[in-house]
Order: sequence, then structure tokens, then C-alpha cells
Amino acid sequence: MKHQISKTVSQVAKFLLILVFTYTGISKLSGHEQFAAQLSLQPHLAPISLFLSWLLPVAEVLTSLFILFDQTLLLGLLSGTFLMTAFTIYVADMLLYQSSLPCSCGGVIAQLTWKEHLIFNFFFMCLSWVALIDHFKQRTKRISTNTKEVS
Amino acid sequence: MIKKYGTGLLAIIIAVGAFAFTNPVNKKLGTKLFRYSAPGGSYSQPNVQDNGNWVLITGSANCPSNVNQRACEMDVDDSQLNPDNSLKSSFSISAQQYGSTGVFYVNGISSGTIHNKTF
Repeated sequence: MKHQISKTVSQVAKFLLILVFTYTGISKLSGHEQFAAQLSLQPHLAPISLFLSWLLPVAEVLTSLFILFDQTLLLGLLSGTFLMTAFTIYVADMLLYQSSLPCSCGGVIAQLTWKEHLIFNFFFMCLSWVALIDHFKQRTKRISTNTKEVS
Repeated sequence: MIKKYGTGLLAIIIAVGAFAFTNPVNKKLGTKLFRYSAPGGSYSQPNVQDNGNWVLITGSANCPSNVNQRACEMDVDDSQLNPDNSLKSSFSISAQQYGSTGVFYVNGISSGTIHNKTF
């Protein structure tokens, strides 16, 4: 029963992470000119805004593909957790210090206020951590089962 | 294959579908030129950031884009304007001080091109 719940949570988390990373990634790539211009408005990011404007959407699309396949799942979850944690810290910083600037986000997410954005990101950050921790637990369990079988 | 990756593939299909339905066709928007009308000659941060101090002008731009010392003009995308050609309340302008002069220039707008001028 516990295993079943854990499996379902993990499946839902993977589904939602693939959904959100694919959507925001292709939205940013599609509106790249505007995304790059908005990134260049952020004081801390301005010097590397052009580089980031390509790196972020490509990383998001790759992350969703990595999460899709079992062979690259760990890499995808690590990358997704890192991205979501970084985005959450960034949004919190914007909310605290620079909320007058426009959001450089993909698709309909750009319509959210900074506060709503923080809640949205926090939820997905927790989700990615849950999926990552669950993946490690399953991995450890598999390894210990295999070791028992061998011995 | 479908059984193994079905959920993930479904997520990708939904994401692409959602993008296709929510993203407007990318077309080049028209722009309108706004010039800063300094109240009492003030270039303070609240004044520069106040949408009400920016006036629509019909002439051509005469402030450079590469000098960031004092607010001057901005080309604003039509999507950011009300039907009466005033700036939407959601349009945001951020200003930064030039050195420690108390004079501010525009360093960020929601959408469009910024032209500041010399101090």
C-alpha cells in the first residue's frame, strides 16, 4: 500500500514536472526576443542575459526529456530540482527587492503576480524534491534487494 | 513503449497543446513614442516611474539609446496602451539614479525601447 502511494506520487510529480518544463521551455524559445529583453532588465543578470536567455529554455526542455526516460531520470530530477530551487530563490528576490520589474517567464505564467509566482514555484520546487528523494529511496531499495539476492 | 512512457508523453502533448492555444501568434507590434515631461524639471525616481508623466508625441525620436543619464523617451509597444493611447496601469517603468546626482534615467520598461539622454 505504502509502496503504491509512493509510486503514484512519483508518477504525478514526474508528469507535472514534464508538463511545466516543456510548456515554459517552448514558450521562452518561441518568444525568445522578448524573454531576452526582459532578462536584460534584471540588474544582476544583465551581463549574462543573452547567454541565459538560451541556456534556460534549452535546459528546461532537456530536463523534461531527461525525466521522461528511465535511463536519464536521475539527471532530469537533479536538473529539475536545481532549476526549480534557483527559480524560487530568484522570484523571492524579485518579490522582496525589485517587484516593479516585469516577469521574464514563459507563457501564461508571466500573467501571475510575483506573489502568485512564488507560491507556484514553491509548489513545484517541493514536488521536484519529493520526486528526487523518492527516486533515491527506490534506488537504494533496489540495490539492497539485488545485494541480498546475490548473497 | 507507450505503456512505459505514456504518462510522460501525455504531459508533453498537453504542454505543447497548451502552448499552441495560449500563445498568440508572434507578430511584430507597432510602437508609439512617449517623452518624459519632467514636473518642475524633476527627474526624481517617483516622477520618472510615474506613467502619468510620460506624454505621447507624434514627432520622431531625438534621444539616443546608448546614453543612460537622464530619462527622455521610450518607444512603447501598442499592446501596452489603452484605447485612448495612454499607458496601461500595468505598464511598469523602473528608474535608476545616474551616479549620486539625484537624477534618474529609465533602466527598465515592461515592453518597448528605452532612449535616455545626457545629464
